[in-house]
Amino acid sequence: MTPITASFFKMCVPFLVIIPGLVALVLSQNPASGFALLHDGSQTNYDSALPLLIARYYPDGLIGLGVTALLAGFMAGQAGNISAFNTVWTYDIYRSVINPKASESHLLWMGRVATVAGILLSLVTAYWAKTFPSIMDYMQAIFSWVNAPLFATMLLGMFVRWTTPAGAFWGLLLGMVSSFTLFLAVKFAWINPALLTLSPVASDMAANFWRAWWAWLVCFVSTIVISIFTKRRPDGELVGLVKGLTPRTGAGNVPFHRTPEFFAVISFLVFIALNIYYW
Amino acid sequence: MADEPKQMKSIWYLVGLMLLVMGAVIAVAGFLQFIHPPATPTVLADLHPGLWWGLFMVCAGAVFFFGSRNRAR
Repeated sequence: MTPITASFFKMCVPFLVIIPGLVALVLSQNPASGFALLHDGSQTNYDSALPLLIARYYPDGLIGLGVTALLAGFMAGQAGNISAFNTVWTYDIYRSVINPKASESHLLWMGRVATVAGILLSLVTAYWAKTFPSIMDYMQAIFSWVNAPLFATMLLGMFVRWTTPAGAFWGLLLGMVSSFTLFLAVKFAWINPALLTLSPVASDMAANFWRAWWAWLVCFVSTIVISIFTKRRPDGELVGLVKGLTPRTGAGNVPFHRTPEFFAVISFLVFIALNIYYW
Repeated sequence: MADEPKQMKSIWYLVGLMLLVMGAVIAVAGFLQFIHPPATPTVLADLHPGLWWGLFMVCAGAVFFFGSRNRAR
């Protein structure tokens, strides 16, 4: 139920991100408003939109809440990502592949080292992020390299019982590499961006979304093809992981309007309606 | 009399408490600015956003706080 509840909040995020951006855009195009976005040299700093709007509209008291909310958002995101980084590195890579016989105390030490390494790595990537036109461009670029192919892997892993470990690993790797290669190809003008976006008007953001789609497709197709030719795991090992092999727990006497299925259908309908309205 | 086992408070209790306290601070600040407008007001300050948002947060916080006060996690 939790992911379904989260889906409603997730669908609100574009409004929180886009509406302040549109307000800043309209204000900055009206000289009478006295509002102007900051500039880094010749480049407009779009990341300054929200702090400037807070300073413009929030009175004392409320401005503390606004700044605190921004900082809390940054810190929560950073903490969550570093926590995920040290967990994935320590358990899924170090213990599984590099040192399977590691003791608990050694793994704890490794987790702490990974945390410090993750923080240092994030400092380096922060400087890289500054080279992008805005934080949103950077985030969407990262999503197109990592999240889009990962979505295909998750989808196949959760719903297709004959997906193999080799198929998932190499499919994900191919998806990520293809996405990053496309990014470099557009950045260094090896290819025309219109090839990627199927449109003569290709903004950076459009390229990000289209690259995400191609990465998803590459990962999806290559995972299926590789899975067909590689050895699958016995069904017994996939219980609890793959739909169809996991026994369903009934909702009991819960009325239909309080079941996860009911809220999932509503979430899906809202998702479709929003996409049709803003197409 | 035997001690009752301690129960963890619901997360909504703490959410309500936070909204109540912060809302009260913002509402008081908004009220003070309503009585004594600042020398350099923000845009649309005549709408008194601090006062309204503060009161809204207090009301929302009260609903969460008192609704979950006696409910364990």
